[in-house]
Amino acid sequence: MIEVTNLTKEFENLEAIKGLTLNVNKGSIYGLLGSNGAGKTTLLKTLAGIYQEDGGKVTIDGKRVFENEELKQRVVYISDALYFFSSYTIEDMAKFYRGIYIRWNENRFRQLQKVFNLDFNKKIHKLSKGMQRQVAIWLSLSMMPDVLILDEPLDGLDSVMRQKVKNLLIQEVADREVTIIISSHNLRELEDLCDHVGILHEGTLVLEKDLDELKQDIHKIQVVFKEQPSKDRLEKMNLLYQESRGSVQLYIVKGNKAKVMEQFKEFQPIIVDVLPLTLEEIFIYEMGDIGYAIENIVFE
Amino acid sequence: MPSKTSFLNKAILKNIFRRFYWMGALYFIALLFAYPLNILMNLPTETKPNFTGGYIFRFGSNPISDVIIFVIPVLFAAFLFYYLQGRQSSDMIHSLPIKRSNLYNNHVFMGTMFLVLPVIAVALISWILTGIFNLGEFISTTTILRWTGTTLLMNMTLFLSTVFAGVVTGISIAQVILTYIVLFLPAGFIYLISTSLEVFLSGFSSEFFQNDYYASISPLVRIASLNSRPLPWSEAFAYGVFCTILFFLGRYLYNKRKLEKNQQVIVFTPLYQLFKYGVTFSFMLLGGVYFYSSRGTSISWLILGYGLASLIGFWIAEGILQKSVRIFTKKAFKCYLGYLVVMTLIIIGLFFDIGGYETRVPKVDDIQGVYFDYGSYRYTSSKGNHKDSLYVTPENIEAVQQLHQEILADGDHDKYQNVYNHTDLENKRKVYFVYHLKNGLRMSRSYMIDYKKYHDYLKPIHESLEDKNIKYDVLKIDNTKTKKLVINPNNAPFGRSLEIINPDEIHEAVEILKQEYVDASYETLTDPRVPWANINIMLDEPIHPDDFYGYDEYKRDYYDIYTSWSKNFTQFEAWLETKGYLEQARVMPEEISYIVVEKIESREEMDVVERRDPRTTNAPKYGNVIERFESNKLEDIEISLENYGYTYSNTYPKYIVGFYNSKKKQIFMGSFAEGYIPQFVLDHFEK
Repeated sequence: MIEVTNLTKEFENLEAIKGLTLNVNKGSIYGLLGSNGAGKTTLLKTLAGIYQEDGGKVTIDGKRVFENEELKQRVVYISDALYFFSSYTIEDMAKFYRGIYIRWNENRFRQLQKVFNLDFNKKIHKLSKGMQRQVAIWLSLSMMPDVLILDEPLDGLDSVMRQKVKNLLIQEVADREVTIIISSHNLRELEDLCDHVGILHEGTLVLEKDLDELKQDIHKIQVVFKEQPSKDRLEKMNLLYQESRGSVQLYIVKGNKAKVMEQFKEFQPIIVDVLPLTLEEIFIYEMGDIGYAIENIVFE
Repeated sequence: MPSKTSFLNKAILKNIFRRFYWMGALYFIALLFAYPLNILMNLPTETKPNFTGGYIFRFGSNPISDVIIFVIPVLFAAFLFYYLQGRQSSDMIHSLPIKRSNLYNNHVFMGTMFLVLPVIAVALISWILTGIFNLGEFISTTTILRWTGTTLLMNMTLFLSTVFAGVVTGISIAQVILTYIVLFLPAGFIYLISTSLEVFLSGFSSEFFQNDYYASISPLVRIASLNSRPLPWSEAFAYGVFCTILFFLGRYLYNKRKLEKNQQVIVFTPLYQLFKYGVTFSFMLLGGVYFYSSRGTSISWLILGYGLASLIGFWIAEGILQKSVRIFTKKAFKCYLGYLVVMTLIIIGLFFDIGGYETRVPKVDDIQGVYFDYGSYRYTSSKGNHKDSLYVTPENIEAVQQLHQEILADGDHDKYQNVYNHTDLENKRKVYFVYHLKNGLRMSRSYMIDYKKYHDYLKPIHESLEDKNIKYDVLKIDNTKTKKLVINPNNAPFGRSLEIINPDEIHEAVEILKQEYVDASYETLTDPRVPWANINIMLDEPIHPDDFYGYDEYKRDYYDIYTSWSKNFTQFEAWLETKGYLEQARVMPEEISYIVVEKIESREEMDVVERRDPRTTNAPKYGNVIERFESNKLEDIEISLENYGYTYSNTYPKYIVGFYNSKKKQIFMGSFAEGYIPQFVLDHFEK
């Protein structure tokens, strides 16, 4: 669906994106993580066809986005810094988009009003920042896009609205197989939304993961042994981390869950438990050294 | 769905209209006040029985409209393309499924509508008003049409220039400033470069380049001069072409624009350098010319000015581009140094005349025609192909070319000399050459020469009929077109004059004058004595209709030709005598009571003479330092009248002569030039 091949983008002799390659499948929600200045916005604006590639290629459905009117009808971008025409009401803005996007769905627009509960005739400039963001999402969903490119869309929303928006997005993917790429500087925010996550650091993608796989693959295991097994035997397992709290041993192990449990049971422990892992923890353990470098950035 | 090839997009057009219709509305209202309402306010009333608004559609006479035409199109473009400069608005608009060229088309189109429709509407309303109130005689349909066309064309020129600047810059303020600078630049550059070259290249004259024609390459200057020179079709066409090029070039660059560079002064990297060195160069020229002209005309001041001003210019340009005042990094320093090296090479090149500019004289065979005179005005003011001011006969072409060669061979027109030195000026005159070559090129030169030294070269040229035909309009008079001939005697008491209206007499007089000019020798034509009278011949039709092109709105019923009755024109004098007009046509000795001749030894003495009250000359306040001789003999007075010339010579000693009436009041003063000093004066002073 979305294919970025070896993309470079320069800002005054400074490379903002350095040979980046990325793939997003149809119907997936891709979370793009990174600190300020990592190149997220630049990448998204290039995906949206606002910026032109300096090197490499950005395509959606195999077609280049830049200056592609037909393709851009199906690709909607919501910037982190929103823009509305001054003194336009929500209705005016909708009227404008209605003339631009051929797939504009008026019914949908009317229906979504109930979700956002904002007056059609409110001047957008008089709304709070959070409300403006809701308006942007509301309008974007009414454009019936195939691809949604969202730059920090949850910023400035309260937790209730955040959940509402997330649900709407997930619904959108479920109903219409929309492809969403969403950026954030906070992993926690994307945890229950994305199926894929990529971490962008200084213009390159340092990590790209399928979250389900990740969660299936990595386990936090709490064990109390009768007697401590030998190091050699333990190291046969794919241990990412271990810690001992008195008699309780804590292991982060990579591998098939059943297999891992089997291995532990071989040591005939007194207790063995699988504890839930947050995405945050997974990343920290998974990434090892880079993880510590990025930790501060992504996990706040 | 908007098809790929569509030029406009309805939704975008609607959107632009909704957001900016107020501009068009305000413009319309402003025009309404400046034109139709202005007409109504100038309608005849009881106190003012005549319509007083004839000026309304004339450029430069209607203050409101003058401001409007300079400001409105620029503001419109800045507002319409404001979205392009902002990060948020630019991102939003460019994420829409609309091609950039389409966005550009829509905005330019809407701006054009805002600029065109109000003008047409106002022109129509005004036209209807002139019909209702029967004002055709004051404001003709042609006048309104010409105003409409010119306004539309100039509106579009300024508008599209600003749009273009908007595409190139990333900040709205920079867009507006850049527009005005760039539109003014051609005129400024021509002025500065030609002034500078005049210093470096002997023979180069900036006068050929500092006139209306070159100044109006700059649209801003052109708009200001619409008042005196309406736009001819050829220029209108050129502006049309210019607008078309701007439109397409702007669109091309819009497509190439990198939106991430918004908020930078210059968006295109190659233009960075152009801007940087362009500003540096402009400052350099400006500084050099400023120092040169204000600190005494010396070349070292010029060079100093170049150095200082280019540094300042470089600093400002870099500062603007980098948005910082601390720009002097090693790299910037290297750039500036590189610039200095190139400029030094160019100046050295000019100094040593590497192009051979100073020694070049075209071969006689290559010359089609040549202009030669003591000023450039007759050349630069003649429109079109200059054919009325060129010598084309082989004799004159060769004579002029030889004179040119001789001047170069003598080499006394020193480079970098101070030509405005007053004591030098007396015997020197600036001569101007413009060769029209057979290959279509032109070559102009100008030198300060001692004209007496070149007497033998100048004489045949100025005695040729061709030269006389060019210079003396009287030779071109068609006798069937004359209306009146007025002779104004020089220095006659009470400003009396003689009017001849009898057609036969006018005819005779004109024919004799023509013959006098045809026969006149170089010495006659350069006679330093004051002519007996100035002659004013009135004609039905202008001799140079071009001179009145476009602004002869006052429907004059006569055109003047000026000539004079030189003291050498004895045939004319004889004719006046036979007709009995002589006494009315000149100052007669009987009108003078006495004369006072003084010998002036120095400039200081001349100052005293000039400062004293002319009426009290006979009782000098400053004592009898100045030697004087008084005479009331009629023959002395007559000889003095015959021989006096103007007093401005600065060669001392010289004799000045005052003419007094019976009330001891000085009527006028003159001086006797070398060769024209009467014997009685010599007898008195030289003994």
